Amino acid sequence: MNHIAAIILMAVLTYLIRFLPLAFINEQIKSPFIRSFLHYIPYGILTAMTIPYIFYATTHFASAIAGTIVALILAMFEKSLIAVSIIAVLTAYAVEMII
Amino acid sequence: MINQPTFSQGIKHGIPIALGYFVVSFTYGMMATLGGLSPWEAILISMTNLTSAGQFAGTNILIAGGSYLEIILSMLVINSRYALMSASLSQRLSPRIPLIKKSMMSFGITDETFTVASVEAEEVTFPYFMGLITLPYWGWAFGTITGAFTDNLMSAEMQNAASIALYCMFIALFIPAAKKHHAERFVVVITAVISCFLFYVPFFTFISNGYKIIIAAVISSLITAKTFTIKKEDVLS
Repeated sequence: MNHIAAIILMAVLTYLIRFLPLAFINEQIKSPFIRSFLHYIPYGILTAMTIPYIFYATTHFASAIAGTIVALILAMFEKSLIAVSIIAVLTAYAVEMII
Repeated sequence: MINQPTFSQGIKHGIPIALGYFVVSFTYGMMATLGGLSPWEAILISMTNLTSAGQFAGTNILIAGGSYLEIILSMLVINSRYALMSASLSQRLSPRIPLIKKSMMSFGITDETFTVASVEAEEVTFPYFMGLITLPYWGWAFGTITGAFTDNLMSAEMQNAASIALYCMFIALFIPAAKKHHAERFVVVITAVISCFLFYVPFFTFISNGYKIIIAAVISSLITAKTFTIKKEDVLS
């Protein structure tokens, strides 16, 4: 497979997926149901991408779970994206070192 | 929520995303070069795609020597959430933004920029969104560059630990919303349940992970939209 062709393919697909809805939906969607759906979908997607995949992100359950718990707690306290990521990663790292 | 957010407000909101992106894209850069891509290929991918999950998937296919078809299907499924985000965003845009400006904005629709814009801006203006995506874009690019040229400086333990960085960013986005609003809490919980169900019940192994994600998200969002329909008068916050 030609790498450059593959990369261009990836980029074009990603871009079109993002651009076409924005290009074609020009007005407020009337249906409250559809609008509600579009409002909730980001949270659905983010959650579905994370759980349960985060538990398998590292090679050891223990570090993944430790990192997840720390991330959840920090997020409950509404800490920033960067704080949550770094502290949870460091936690997972500490557990990895201990195992 | 800001009513007519400005470019500089966008920049400010983009800072934490940019920092998080630096960390995650560093992992991507490393993983891509370790897998056999040249640093320039990894950097090109990051600068033309700007998508965390999609890049990881596409890159893995590239490294494993898969087909163009695999790349197409994979990218479509994993990135299809952007279509929903784009549709969702279309409802919040300033009225009558010209197509050329929309074509610029759409390049930067990512999980994080979309969520932050949805949460922080009552009306997503062109200057605000462009401000929002600028630093994250460069954070993603520079993180990749740094990671791509830093092959073996990270121990196995550190690489392992850094793999959860991407998920931590997601957690930092959906947990606060779930904490604040019962409808969002509902969709998060239902999604987690369905997602785990699809993942652990052996019958569903024939469905790829990308599809599992879409199915779980769509079903739970439909249920939530039915149960907690937002009336026109409600504030969409």
